[in-house]
Amino acid sequence: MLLWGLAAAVPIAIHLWSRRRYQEVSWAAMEYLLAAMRKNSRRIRVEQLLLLLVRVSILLLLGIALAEPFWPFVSSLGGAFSLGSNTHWVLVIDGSYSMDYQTEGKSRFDAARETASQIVAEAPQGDGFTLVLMSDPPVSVIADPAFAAEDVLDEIKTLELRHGGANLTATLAEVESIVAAAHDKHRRLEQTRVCLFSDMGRTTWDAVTTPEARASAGRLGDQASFALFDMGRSQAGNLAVVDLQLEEPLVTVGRDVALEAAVQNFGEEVLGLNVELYVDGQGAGKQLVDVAAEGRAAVRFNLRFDAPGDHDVEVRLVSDRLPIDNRRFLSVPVRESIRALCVEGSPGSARLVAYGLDPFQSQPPHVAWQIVSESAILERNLAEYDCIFLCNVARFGPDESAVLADFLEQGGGLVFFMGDRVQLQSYNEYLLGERRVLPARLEELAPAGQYFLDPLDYRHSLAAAFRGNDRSGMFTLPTFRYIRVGPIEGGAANTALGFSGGDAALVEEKLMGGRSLLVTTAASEVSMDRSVDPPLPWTILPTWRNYPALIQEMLPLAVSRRDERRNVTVGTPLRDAVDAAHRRLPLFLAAPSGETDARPIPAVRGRRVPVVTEGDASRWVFGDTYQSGVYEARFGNPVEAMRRYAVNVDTRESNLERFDTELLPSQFQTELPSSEAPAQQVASTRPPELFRPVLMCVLLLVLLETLLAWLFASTAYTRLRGWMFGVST
Amino acid sequence: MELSQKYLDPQTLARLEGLKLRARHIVEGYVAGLHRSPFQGFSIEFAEHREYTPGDDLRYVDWKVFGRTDKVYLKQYEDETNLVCYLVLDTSESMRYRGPNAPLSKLEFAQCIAASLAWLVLTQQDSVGLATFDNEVRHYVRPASNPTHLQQLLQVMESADAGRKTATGPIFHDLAERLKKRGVVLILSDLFDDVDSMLAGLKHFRHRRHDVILFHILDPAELDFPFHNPTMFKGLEQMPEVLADPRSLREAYLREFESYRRRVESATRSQQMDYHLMRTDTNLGLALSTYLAARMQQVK
Repeated sequence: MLLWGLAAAVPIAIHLWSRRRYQEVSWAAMEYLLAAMRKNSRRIRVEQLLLLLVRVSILLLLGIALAEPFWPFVSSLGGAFSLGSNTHWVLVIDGSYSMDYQTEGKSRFDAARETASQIVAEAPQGDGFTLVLMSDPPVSVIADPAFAAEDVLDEIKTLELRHGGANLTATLAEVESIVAAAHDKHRRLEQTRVCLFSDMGRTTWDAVTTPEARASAGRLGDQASFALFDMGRSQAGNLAVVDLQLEEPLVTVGRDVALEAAVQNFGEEVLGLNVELYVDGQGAGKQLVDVAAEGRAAVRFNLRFDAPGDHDVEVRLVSDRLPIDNRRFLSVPVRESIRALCVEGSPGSARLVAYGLDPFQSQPPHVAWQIVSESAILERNLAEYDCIFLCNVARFGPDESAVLADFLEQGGGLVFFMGDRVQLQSYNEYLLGERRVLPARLEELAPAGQYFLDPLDYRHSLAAAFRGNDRSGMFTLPTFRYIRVGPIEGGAANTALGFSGGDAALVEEKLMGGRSLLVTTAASEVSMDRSVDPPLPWTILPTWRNYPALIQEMLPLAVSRRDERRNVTVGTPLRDAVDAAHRRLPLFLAAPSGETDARPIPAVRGRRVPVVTEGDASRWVFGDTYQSGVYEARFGNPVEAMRRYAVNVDTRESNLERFDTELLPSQFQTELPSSEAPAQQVASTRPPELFRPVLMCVLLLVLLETLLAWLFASTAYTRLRGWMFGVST
Repeated sequence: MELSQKYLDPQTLARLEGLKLRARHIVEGYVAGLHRSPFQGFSIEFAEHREYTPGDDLRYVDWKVFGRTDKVYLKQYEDETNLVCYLVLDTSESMRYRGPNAPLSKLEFAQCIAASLAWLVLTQQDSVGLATFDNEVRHYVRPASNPTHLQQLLQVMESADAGRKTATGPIFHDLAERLKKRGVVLILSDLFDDVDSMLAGLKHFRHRRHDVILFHILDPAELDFPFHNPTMFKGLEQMPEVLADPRSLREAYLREFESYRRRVESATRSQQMDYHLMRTDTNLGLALSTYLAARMQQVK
């Protein structure tokens, strides 16, 4: 192709040939012609040489432009760069909320978007772009290379920061698959450049040292080059509300409840600050608190709700540079009473439990209980209850097992008490099935004897409540009979209390959405051991005057997960069951706007969410919980019922400690472009593209040639020359 | 072909009919004709004496009468005399040039003009003579008003052999000396010669009180330089050959040529000569009649 360069000889040949070809004329006015030649010969020669030079250059450059893709010298010089090819730019923007850190009114995320936009705007035509938001999970905003820069810029502009963390390993895997797909689909994108925009937060980047991430980076490094844009060079301190919870899991009307918030200082200065409390959007309290450097401070508020229904509680800090984690929300469903169902397998076996649930018989009752027989398990709508005590129920069938499993799934609490009627085989057969509701396997009836409760060093929170009350009788009253239980493979049961023989007395385990407790002895003195004479009760603990205290500890533990799904972290789908009454109503979910100063619950109607009905149960799931705040599920239009859900950030991301870039794998160890002028730096590392500039020069020379030819023949030029050099005319 | 047919184009002659060639300046004449005589007061047709009144032109004072009588009288006459017209035709080699767009060579064109004017002058009973020259005077025909004189003039023109270099300066001096009788000197030439020497010659004519009319005969190619491709210019009149790119030279040549032409024009005009540029591609009759009509206006 370089032979095209020989075309440059054509004008020279034409020039020489034209000197040989001429016409002959006789000429009378020769004297004036000679005078003209005498005065202009030098100029004419220069002009002709200039034109010849321009014409030769045009053809020479055209030849180079045509030959360029096959020019071995330049391609070997370029090495990895193949001239004339296009680049696939993979723009990966860190979407973890630490990127919202504001400097001079601009967040790191905005700066990253600007830099990415700059790269897109400055990239040559023909380059392809893909865009990945490094969140958890990563989002491929543009998975297939887009070639229209305007569209890419639009996507970058509308990209929203999520209030979650970032999963580096998954992002690298995602990028790997995008690069592979683009390589197969767009052969002309011969180079791949992965641009990572991140604040290099340790929370995100610690994962890069894992073997999986290293392997992924290694594979990517073979196909692409990395450019790491450090958006977080400014050193940063931060304050965050890292925890917010009520002291009691379930809240009832008119009852004081303590709210505890934890404020963490991630900076190196002691800070005194105001912590504000909002209930249903209204200010409800304020406390000044000092938080030590890299320390944590707890703030307690006392709350009382006078109306039942869903309330939202928010704790807010004065705004710092990272506003997202300055607010934490709690959805509090306030009940008239906690509803408990006490199922007794034999008359009187649940009586003492029931009394223990509401020992002071307040009005309205804190716990509204009902004692029913075992047939009620199938007859009642268990969803109306928060906790079910099953006392000395002889046996269960598959139907009972299913409704109990459903109940657990909805976050309910189950408490099993053993007794003289319990048939171990039936329990093990039906309650340890696929949807297990029992925390342990029933093995055998322990031999008769005197056994005492063992607090097991108060390790469990339930036992811890009795610390220091060794002489209250709890650990001195004997139990004569209990059922030995054994662990279940793959189970995660905790033993809260034991017996003096070493067996478990109270086992609890989180199962499905709820929690199940198993007390291995009876709940009342009605269960008798008739193998001895005179018959002895299984245990006399229920008759102990402080037995209600034990029940009062068991109840919160059992129902602790009842409203757990009302408060989730960012990225966890919201899911809930729908009451039979609202099953046929359209469901709309109003999500927070994402603006940090906005009222938690937006006034907009929200997005329609489908309700799935399977059998008797109806459920809905809403997965788009990437903004923190209060979400509201609204049934019907107009709204007939609503439920509130709080979505909070995972505050690990609030720690703005930077990752030590020395630990980065070698693929990332390229010069980190500064955030001031990154696009130029990336552009400067780009291979030189000669094809276009050469063609551009050809175009300019063609224009120049036309211009010169016109100029040399024009009168204006003659005058100008005369004026400039004083040539008399 | 009859000589009269060759040079006297009927159409040209038809245009000239009715026009009279008038001397702008007063010329000496034998016959009272259309032309005013310069001999004021000495005319054959003396009119009268008139007493001087203030405001009268002193030129008309009869000094002899004043000398004799101490009285101031003016001599008054209005006489017409006949015209002597000398046609001076350049037959040098450069006049042979005929450009690509011209119907006639410069010489042919000049011959046509000369013939037409001769015919015109003879038609109005005036005398016309002819001189042809290149580097010397080749032929000289004395002025005559005989109508048969035209044929002789045409024969001389025909025999003019273009082929030598011009030397206008000495020729004009020579002719100025030869032409004793004052009249109209009509020069037909491309004037491709040393300008200073030529102008000196022309001045000589004026010095001899001739009315000089200069027909500057030029080919359109010499005025427009319409060449584009590389051209070998072969010089006439012993000038060298030159290979040139006309496109790049055009501006410069035109500037040179125009400067020369303007110099000739301004110099002749300053000597009160009548300069007239004649392109050989113009319609001869139209050009002549336009010129003569304009001249008649000036004389009146």
